[in-house]
Amino acid sequence: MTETGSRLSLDLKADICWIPLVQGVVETGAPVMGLDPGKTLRLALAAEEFILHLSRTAPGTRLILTLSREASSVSALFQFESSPEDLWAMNLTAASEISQDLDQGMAHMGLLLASRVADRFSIALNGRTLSVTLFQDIIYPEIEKAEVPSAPLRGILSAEACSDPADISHACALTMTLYPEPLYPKSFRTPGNIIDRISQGRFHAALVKDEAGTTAGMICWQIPSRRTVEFYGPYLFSKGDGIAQLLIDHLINQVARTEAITLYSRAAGPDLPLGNFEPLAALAYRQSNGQKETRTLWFRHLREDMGCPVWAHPVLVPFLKETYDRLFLIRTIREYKDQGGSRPARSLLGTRLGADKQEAFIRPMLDGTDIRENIQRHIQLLVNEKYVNLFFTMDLSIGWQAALGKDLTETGFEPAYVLPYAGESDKVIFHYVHPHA
Amino acid sequence: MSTLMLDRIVPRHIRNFEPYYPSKPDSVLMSLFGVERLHRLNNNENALGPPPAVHRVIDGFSAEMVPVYPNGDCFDLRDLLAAKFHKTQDQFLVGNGSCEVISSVIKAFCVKGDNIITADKTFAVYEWVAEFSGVEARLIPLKDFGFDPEAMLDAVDDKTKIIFVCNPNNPTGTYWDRDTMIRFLEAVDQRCIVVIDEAYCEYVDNPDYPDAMLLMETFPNVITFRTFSKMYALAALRIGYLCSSPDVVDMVRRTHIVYSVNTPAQQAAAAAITDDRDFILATRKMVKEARQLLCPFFDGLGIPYLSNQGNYMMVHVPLSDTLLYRMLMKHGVMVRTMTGFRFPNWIRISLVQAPVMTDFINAFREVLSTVQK
Repeated sequence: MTETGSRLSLDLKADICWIPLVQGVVETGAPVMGLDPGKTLRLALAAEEFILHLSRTAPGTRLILTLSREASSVSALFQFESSPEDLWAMNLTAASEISQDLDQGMAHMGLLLASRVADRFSIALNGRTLSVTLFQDIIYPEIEKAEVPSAPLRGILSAEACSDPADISHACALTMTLYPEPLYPKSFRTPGNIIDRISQGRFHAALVKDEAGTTAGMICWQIPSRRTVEFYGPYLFSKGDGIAQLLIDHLINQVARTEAITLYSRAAGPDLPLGNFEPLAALAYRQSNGQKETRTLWFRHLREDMGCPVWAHPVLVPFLKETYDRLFLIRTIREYKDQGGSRPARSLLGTRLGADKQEAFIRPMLDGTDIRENIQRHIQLLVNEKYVNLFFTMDLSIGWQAALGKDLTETGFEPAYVLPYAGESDKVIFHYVHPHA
Repeated sequence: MSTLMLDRIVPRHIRNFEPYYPSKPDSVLMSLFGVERLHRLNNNENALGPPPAVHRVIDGFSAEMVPVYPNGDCFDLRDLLAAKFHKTQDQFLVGNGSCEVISSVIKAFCVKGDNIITADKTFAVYEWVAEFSGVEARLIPLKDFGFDPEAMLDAVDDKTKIIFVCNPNNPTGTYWDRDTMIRFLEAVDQRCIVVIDEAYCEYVDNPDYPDAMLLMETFPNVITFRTFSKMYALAALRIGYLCSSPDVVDMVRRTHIVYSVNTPAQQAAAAAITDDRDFILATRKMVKEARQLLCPFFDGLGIPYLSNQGNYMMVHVPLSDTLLYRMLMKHGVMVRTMTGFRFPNWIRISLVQAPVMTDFINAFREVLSTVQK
């Protein structure tokens, strides 16, 4: 066992004899990393179930378990060599399948439980090494909306990076007062989450203040992938010329010399200075009352576009050509569809569920010959549970994902927009069209 | 299960540094953007090409010379530079472009925990080399598009080892006049090295422009950088140099890579500075004529611009600079976007021959009308 700051590692073999040790490590380590008792128990249960699963499906496999504090969560990372096919039980839809055939499904029950008690999970396959991470998010207190100051701004305005908890909390509360919910992340309601992520460099905020220290506006951003930056805002709390431009200039200057190429917003409000950005797409977003609201997504590049190749199923090519022509993006589109080679039997889709059942985000994690049926099962489950906006993310740098274009369009998804450089190349985000919409 | 644990062996300042990916070759870009010719207005190259004497050197370079190492410290070239600037040979170091001498200087004077001072919106390599060397880069905001001497002096502390002044500044073209520079050097009072990067000095003919070659006689802590890429059009050969007092150069020499400048580059540079007067005048004339075309054009459109020194100008465009880049590339015109210089929505244009400038004007006008539709 090794321990470095906020990280603990265990190197062991998949065997039920180690379960008490793993439980002990999680139950002792997670509270030290800031997780509350209830969440600690859930993470311990998830870790226990995961080891149980591996000891049944791949006994004796060498396994490295790493418990660590992320920005606003505690995670248990399992690294091992195994067939990724065994992970199918982490599909959101696996419960019904296991319950229909308990004898066959028992070996995977642990995995099902592990994925359900975790707040989120992610899977990566590097060579033959599988990395499965189970996350438990730290619970933060919610704040109330704040009263908007009426005093006029004084003196020169300036934009500066902010990490002060009081300033961040106050700006979040002002944003909640002045802007509708879709225009800010739900974590604004629990600014402790934002403050923790800022302190670990996972989230960034800048404020514009006047000479008296009054906060006039805020902008926030995070780096979801190596070459993209997503921003929120600008949020303006006072009337004053140029506040929004000051915030946007600050943001651009902060990220201009990074690896990022694409700066985008999925929730920019009316105060975005448009001359700095290009419309990426107009998304017909469904609301729970059945009405549609059109949201414009904005982006800009941070440096010259050098072009890149993308894989695409032939059915997606017209959409991509139209998009790339409209955005003046240079891409070499390489057609790709299932080549008929051997594939694993079972696929895995990761699903992130949004608050209030407004949206669910599906992304393909592992390919399998059942992936079309798997997509259909996910649609059926999510529609039955009244999720109103289903999105599916496809990475065009990964051939087998690109080959899903036909399956997606035939199961009711439509390509909604391209997010340049969100993967090694671009990602396409599909939106599910409800047949009764 | 063998995972290379890079985070254990790579220093944090390297892991945190963002790698730089240069532009693709012209042939690839032309193919991608579907154009048959490309006007390169992005790198401030001298479109006239090198002086005639350089052509003769390049044409005369034979395959028999390829197996022989170049002279390791550019002996002949330093001899010529010494004669041209009335100095001694040991006051010069030649590098594979001035980027290499920037690296040598930072390595010679800075250790982790030290800092360098420069502007936030200037040639990025000072900042980059400092950061990937584990040295803090203190970036002082420009004032009225120029370096701010008072703010730079305020930032100096006992850990400051080098101040970089780009004079004239790339990309704004502003410069400190002689009085400003002397006041600044006096205030620094030899507490640290002051690098005066004069990459574009040959383009400046204003009488108040300070010559660092002369200033270092009074201020031995001054180092000047010069390059053969900008005025002398030897960019493909990668050759630049520094000059300072012998004691300072002796220190930098300890961290400077020898044998990094190839033989054709050394010979071409030597040829370029021999009898360069007419060539410099012809280049200045070309740049002046280009300005005379572009400035009225942008005035007519009501588009703000900066037209100062150097063979370039900056334009504040009414759309995203990176979108404008993509649209101009479809017309076979390549400009430099300025977001990376922390000037979002500005572009920098190299000033070249009139027919090319006219092509740029036509392409820009067409792109603007497309955007405004």
